[in-house]
Amino acid sequence: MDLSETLKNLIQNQSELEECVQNLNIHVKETFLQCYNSCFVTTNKFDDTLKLKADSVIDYLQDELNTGHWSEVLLHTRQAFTSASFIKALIVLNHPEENVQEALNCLDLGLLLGAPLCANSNLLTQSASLLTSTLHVTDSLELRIHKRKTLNCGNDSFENLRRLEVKTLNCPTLEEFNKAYYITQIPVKLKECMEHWPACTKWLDLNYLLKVAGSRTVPIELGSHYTDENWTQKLMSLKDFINNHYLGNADTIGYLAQHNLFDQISELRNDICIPDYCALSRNYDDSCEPDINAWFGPEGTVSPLHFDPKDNLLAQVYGTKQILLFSPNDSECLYPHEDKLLFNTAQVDPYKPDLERFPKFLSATVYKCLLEPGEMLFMPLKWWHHVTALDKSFSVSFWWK
Amino acid sequence: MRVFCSGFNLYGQFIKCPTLIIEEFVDYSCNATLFEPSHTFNLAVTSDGVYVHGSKNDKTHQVQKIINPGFDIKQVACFDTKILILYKNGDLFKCDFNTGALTYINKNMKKVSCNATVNIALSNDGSVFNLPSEIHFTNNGITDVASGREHYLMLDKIGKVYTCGRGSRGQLGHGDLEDELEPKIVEALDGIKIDKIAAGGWHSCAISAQGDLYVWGWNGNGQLGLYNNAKESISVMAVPQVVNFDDQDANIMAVACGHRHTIALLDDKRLYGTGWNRYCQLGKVTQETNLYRFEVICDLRNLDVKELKCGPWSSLVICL
Repeated sequence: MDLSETLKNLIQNQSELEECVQNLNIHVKETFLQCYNSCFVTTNKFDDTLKLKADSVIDYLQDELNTGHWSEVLLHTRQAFTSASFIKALIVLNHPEENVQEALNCLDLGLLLGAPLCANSNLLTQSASLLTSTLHVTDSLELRIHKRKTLNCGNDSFENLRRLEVKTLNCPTLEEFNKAYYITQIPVKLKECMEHWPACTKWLDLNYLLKVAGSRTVPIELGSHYTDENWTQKLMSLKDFINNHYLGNADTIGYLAQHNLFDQISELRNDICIPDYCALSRNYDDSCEPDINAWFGPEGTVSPLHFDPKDNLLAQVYGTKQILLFSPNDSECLYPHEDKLLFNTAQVDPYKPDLERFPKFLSATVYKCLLEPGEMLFMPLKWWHHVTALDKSFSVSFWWK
Repeated sequence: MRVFCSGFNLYGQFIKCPTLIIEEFVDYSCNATLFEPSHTFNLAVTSDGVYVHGSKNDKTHQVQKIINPGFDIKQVACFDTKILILYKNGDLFKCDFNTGALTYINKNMKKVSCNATVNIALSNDGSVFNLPSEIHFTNNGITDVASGREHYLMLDKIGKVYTCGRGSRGQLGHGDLEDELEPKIVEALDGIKIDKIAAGGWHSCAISAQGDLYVWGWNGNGQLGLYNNAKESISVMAVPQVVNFDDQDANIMAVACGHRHTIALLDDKRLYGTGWNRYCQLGKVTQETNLYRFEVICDLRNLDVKELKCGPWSSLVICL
């Protein structure tokens, strides 16, 4: 059976693929239906014209997706994008010059920008896994031992500040953690909580990551950190990211940051476990699955001093990160940006504070923490944190409410 | 009317061009007095009516008359399936795409510009509407308006530029990514007399009385053409930048923007373009999807160019 037929067999509810474009521009909808029918109804010739039609629907929807702030984009537009991405992948696979990689790219773009359908919620994830398994990984990299480099974070100007150590616990019970840290909202480092994760051994082998995910498209942050004026984001294959930015000497630092890699690539989801602590909630009616994000990059990646609106467990799979924490009570000493987009980011750089502009910084209390492989850091919501990777690093964060 | 056009033609909206992409600028003469591109159709106005050129009932390259007659029409504007008709007497109507039925909007209008979420109309007395509401702000008499997908620009009679709407990609030119609910002067252009303005999907352009081109907003596809300024990697430019053309003495005569591309006419009568070229909206200049610097895309010497226009994914040169 050819690949497009195999993909079609993954469809749970075919009519949903068609129904989710109902609100589109009438002509674009017509074009979509021509593409759709070519896959399911007629036995049209799969040629360049059909590909152009599929492209034009995708590009039209991309213009729509770029309209309005991301959080305001209508669900049906994002679902239409998911459906159109799937149809385009079928068309690419049916084209005389069948191109599995191109079809996989379509599916990944659908996964990155679209929204899951209802009756076909895993269609793109499953289709992409299936296509990935047919691609041969040709180049193999020598296994890298993740040796610690002593990256200098700059002069420790915060040495002048009142300093406290983040406490460390060995695999506390849920109750212990709840009582002493979760309810009281105090940061703590947890050891021996992720020894059962397959990721801790498997991901050390880059060839494994390349095999299950090398040909997948991921968003990469380029530039030293997100408040830098040259900062930008690019989509590239994980393989290119590893070769150019992770192992290579690209001019700009690249960071796979805050990306939900695990909904996109189910093989990697199987390598991690949601910590039990994420089941704790201050509001039992309103608990839900945590947001899981991957943070994968070379030494020297920086997340500037900021806070998140949810409780956070940062799990260090490999590599070492230096983390500085400040309590929400010290917000005033950190000079949050005034504009709406960066209100959760501090203006002061704790490693190079401009004390003339930010004199109150000296009255802040810094909590310093070195997060090593196999350790997790609990950062309560609204706690400020600055994160620097001291060597090549892979972390997984769990945000929950 | 003589038109040169290039770009997206999947619906046969350029009815005389058989291909689904017009790969290089072609001479496209028609008897229209007004010509306006949308994403899936073009509007052509002649003295006897307004015609929709594009697809109908699954067939491309169709012509359909929606308004009768057309001699008293001053301007048409369209986006997606939205059509606005401005009559010479100043009456502004919305036109139903399917039936051609007209709905009265306002009177005494001079110019309209519409896009995805904004519909801007300028009245004969210099007041401005984001339809249906009037925009209240103090100014020196607005002379021109231009709309992007979610933002708009206004030009006043002493050459100052005001912007309003979505700012998430720097398209307002205020140095940040904030939205503005009320028009705000573009301070970086204060002191530079601006003659012409244009708005793309998420970017903006202005031409100064000195003949310089200023650009700002989204550069994701190279639509700002700032490569010569060594800013090719910049994805967003929130402050107006002057574009360096190869010929330092060149004056820019006209500019128009598509969703993700920009075309500009220089005084040597060469048309330059930059940005997204997936559908040949810049013609044959490159095989790449994006062009990051302004390059010559069409030679218009010996022609009397009246106006540049862009559809979302197409470019048009309207000649006298």
